[in-house]
Amino acid sequence: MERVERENGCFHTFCPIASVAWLHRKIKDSFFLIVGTHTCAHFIQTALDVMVYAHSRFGFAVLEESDLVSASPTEELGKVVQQVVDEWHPKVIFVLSTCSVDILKMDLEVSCKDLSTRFGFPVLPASTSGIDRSFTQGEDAVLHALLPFVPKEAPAVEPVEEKKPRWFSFGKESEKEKAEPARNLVLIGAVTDSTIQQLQWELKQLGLPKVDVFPDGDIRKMPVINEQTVVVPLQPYLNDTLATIRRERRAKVLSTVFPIGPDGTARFLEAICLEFGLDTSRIKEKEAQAWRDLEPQLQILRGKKIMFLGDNLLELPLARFLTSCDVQVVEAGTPYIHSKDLQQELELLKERDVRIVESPDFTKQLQRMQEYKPDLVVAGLGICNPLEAMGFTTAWSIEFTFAQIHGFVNAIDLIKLFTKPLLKRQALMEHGWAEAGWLE
Amino acid sequence: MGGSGVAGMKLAYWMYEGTALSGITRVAGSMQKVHTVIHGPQGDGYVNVMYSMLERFHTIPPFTLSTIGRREMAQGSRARLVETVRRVDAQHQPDVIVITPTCSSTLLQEDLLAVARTLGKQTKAKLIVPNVNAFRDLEHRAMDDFLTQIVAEFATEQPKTEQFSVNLIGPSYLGFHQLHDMQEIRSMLESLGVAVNAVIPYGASIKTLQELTKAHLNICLYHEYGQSACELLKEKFGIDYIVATPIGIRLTSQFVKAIGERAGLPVESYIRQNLAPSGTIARFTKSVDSLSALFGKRAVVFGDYSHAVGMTHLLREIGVRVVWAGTYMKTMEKAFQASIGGLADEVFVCDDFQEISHKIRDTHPDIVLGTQMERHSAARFNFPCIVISSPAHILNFPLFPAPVLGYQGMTRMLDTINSTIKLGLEEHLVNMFGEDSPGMGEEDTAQEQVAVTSDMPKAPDKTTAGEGELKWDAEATKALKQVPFFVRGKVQRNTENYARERGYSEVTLEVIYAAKAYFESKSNQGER
Ligand code: SF4
Repeated sequence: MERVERENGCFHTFCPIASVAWLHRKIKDSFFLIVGTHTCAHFIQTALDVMVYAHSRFGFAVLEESDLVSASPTEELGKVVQQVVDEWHPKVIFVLSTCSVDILKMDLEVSCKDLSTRFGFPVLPASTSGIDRSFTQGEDAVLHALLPFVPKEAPAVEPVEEKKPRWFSFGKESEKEKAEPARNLVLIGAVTDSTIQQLQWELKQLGLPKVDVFPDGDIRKMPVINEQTVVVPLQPYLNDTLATIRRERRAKVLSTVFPIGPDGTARFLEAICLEFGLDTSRIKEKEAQAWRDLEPQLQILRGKKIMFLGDNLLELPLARFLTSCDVQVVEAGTPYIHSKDLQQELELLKERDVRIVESPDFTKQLQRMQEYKPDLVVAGLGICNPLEAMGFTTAWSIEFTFAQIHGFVNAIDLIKLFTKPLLKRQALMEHGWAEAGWLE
Repeated sequence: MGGSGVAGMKLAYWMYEGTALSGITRVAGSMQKVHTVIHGPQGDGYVNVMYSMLERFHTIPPFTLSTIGRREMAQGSRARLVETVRRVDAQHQPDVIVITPTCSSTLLQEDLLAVARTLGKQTKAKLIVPNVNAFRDLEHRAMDDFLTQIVAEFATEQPKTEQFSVNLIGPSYLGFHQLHDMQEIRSMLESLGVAVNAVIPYGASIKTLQELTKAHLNICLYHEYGQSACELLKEKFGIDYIVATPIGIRLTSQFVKAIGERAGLPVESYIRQNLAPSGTIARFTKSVDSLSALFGKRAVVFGDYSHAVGMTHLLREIGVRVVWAGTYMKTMEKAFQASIGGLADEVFVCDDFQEISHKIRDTHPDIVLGTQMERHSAARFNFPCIVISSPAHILNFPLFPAPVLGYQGMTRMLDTINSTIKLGLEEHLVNMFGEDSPGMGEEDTAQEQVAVTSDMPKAPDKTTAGEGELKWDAEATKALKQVPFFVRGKVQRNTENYARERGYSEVTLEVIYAAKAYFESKSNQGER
């Protein structure tokens, strides 16, 4: 049965430029410059003010009316970049484009190239416009922009201080003695250092001591990716980055599920072990142990109905994890589905008969919600409170983006994002709220 | 942003004012049976987040996005807009649908008026397209224009109420404590015996707009917006108006008197009663404790026009010195200078967050009254701070009644100041005997050491003479350590500046004492 429906509707999500919130912390010595209008600045301020310090390594090049008619943005952008350099001394600047840049067809690529040369460090354009991307895809755009700093070859000898900055010269050193070609593993996704450490530890125990991650926090230490590389995505929304890696690096991108939840993590580790010819027998036991650890939480979740309205593009892996918890996922709404990168997740969800709605229509979802009567709705920040007032229990989708949810160790944190709202509701009911009537 | 219009792209970290979109949705979203269709990209639905999170909306905010996506960019967005407006009309059955542009739709040059004109014949709701430039206009300007537009659209001639009545112009969602202010003004007017005919935009319906003309006087509560609507009501219907934000003793008196004069009511006793020795305001201000806690303390004020002016007045009324007062409302510079007059040592207009931040750092105030952004800056430099103006934060949407205006507002401000600023007696003791540190063992001294170094400027301050670090001899270092850590940085900086200016190469006890004498005499002069 074909279970993916497309509604081409209007749903509640954040603009992709919001991804600066985690990226500016991930990439060290970076600065994120968003070229846009007052709206973009106001949005970020409103959306992130609670979470981010006023003095952060990102800012806005606010377009003025004269910019709308100017032939090239390079000069004006250059002045802004100069100010950023004076204040922050960044080693890399990401220039994020927005809707207005798209509409005006401003060529930031060319400007960035010029400015990189002028300033002697990388000024990288990334397309994060809200016109055709949603919330988390800003990360895809930024990783894509970083790909040129991913070397094709490992340095032949131990890194010697180079005269020229490395980023100008990689790829031109092929005549140097090459290291013996060996297959390397690169995990892709801007996750926290502690998540990386955990995944590396799991893989080391399974016999893979060296696991690289892209992006590294340091732009000069990005891992090698070439035709010898096996690439495995950690996040489901890195489609442009993966496509370019396939095309330009001819690396093998493993098709697997995402390491979210014990089930996903086990499949993910198995796929990697099989690829590297390693023994997978211990994974089963690890997975079983991970599930045992979750048992008290699982008891809360079993048989519950959960609905995803669609926001952060993590919906399909999360829905798959929930079905493994014997949750009835009544609808997995998601802004966009990349059928190739999500193939394994899609197959599992179809097997389990989950209704998937791409680009859902919020108004229709409201009606369906009345039919489904879900125990929990995972929704964007803008509508959780009204849904609560309507009697639904909600989880903020943004929390899944800001929490550590990958791997076995984090599985408990992941599952708690679902059980906590349910427990809260129960606790309130036990302590006075039954009287209010409407919470029933 | 204001400014010349010739200059191009401008670096900004944070914005003091919202966009035209946020202004329009503040007006329209505050009203009854008014639905807004936002013509913009998916991400511009963030206005929902503000209502849902800051105002803790319990209903779905009355905003629907007509999404501009790739397809709409290529094929035009009109079809989608028409479909969305029709759907909203059928589903929500509002009296009015506001079709609002965004930066993006403005750049796409979509003619919303033309769409409204053709569609308007088919929809039950009246369609209104705000007459704003969504790309250029800022929040308050858009609010002012849009309020005027809808008042002009709906207000009709009506017989006046028998009793003297007023309209309150201004209260709206997402304003700074505005709904609390509205309650306070209502109860104030009730005490005076003045009836409230209508409030706009908060809670207003089309009927409210139609009946605005029943009132005898319009009261525009915030200088940032609403005056143009009052002006229009005056021209067209002859309704008198005042623009006043009653913060502190003087501005509240003026406000009450202006209303009393027009209503022909005596107000003196109301004012007296609130300032009587038995009242909270007098008891606090005259309390001997506030002689040391407040008198002569150095404050800085920054905010929108109304709150910066009001708070500057209020601070002076309780004996606090205002070193500078600034506003980000660049369009109101002249009026700002005039209203603050001699109340602050320095008065300025600026909308650059960084500049204000640096100014706070260099001023070393005892307390900062600013926006949410100054709160960040103050935290960074370790100064006490109170948020007194938008841009606000979830904390500025308190549940308990928390007005800023009127006597209740002043009482609440006094409480807030009292709990934020370093108290008098406590400060005395600290200054005399140093911080309280139980069992000053080796470890404490070590920690203290850390506090000293982390408090010190990491590198010689570039803004001062900048001739490298000054040496502190042993005795001077010991004396510095005796200074409470929270003022230590300031004392060190002042002493070093003093020493440099006078050509000392080393800081000795002599230099410290001379510097202390110099700065204290200077600050006493300023206080008078
Ligand atoms: S990029 Fe587009 S959607 Fe995002 S804030 Fe800017 S204008 Fe809005």
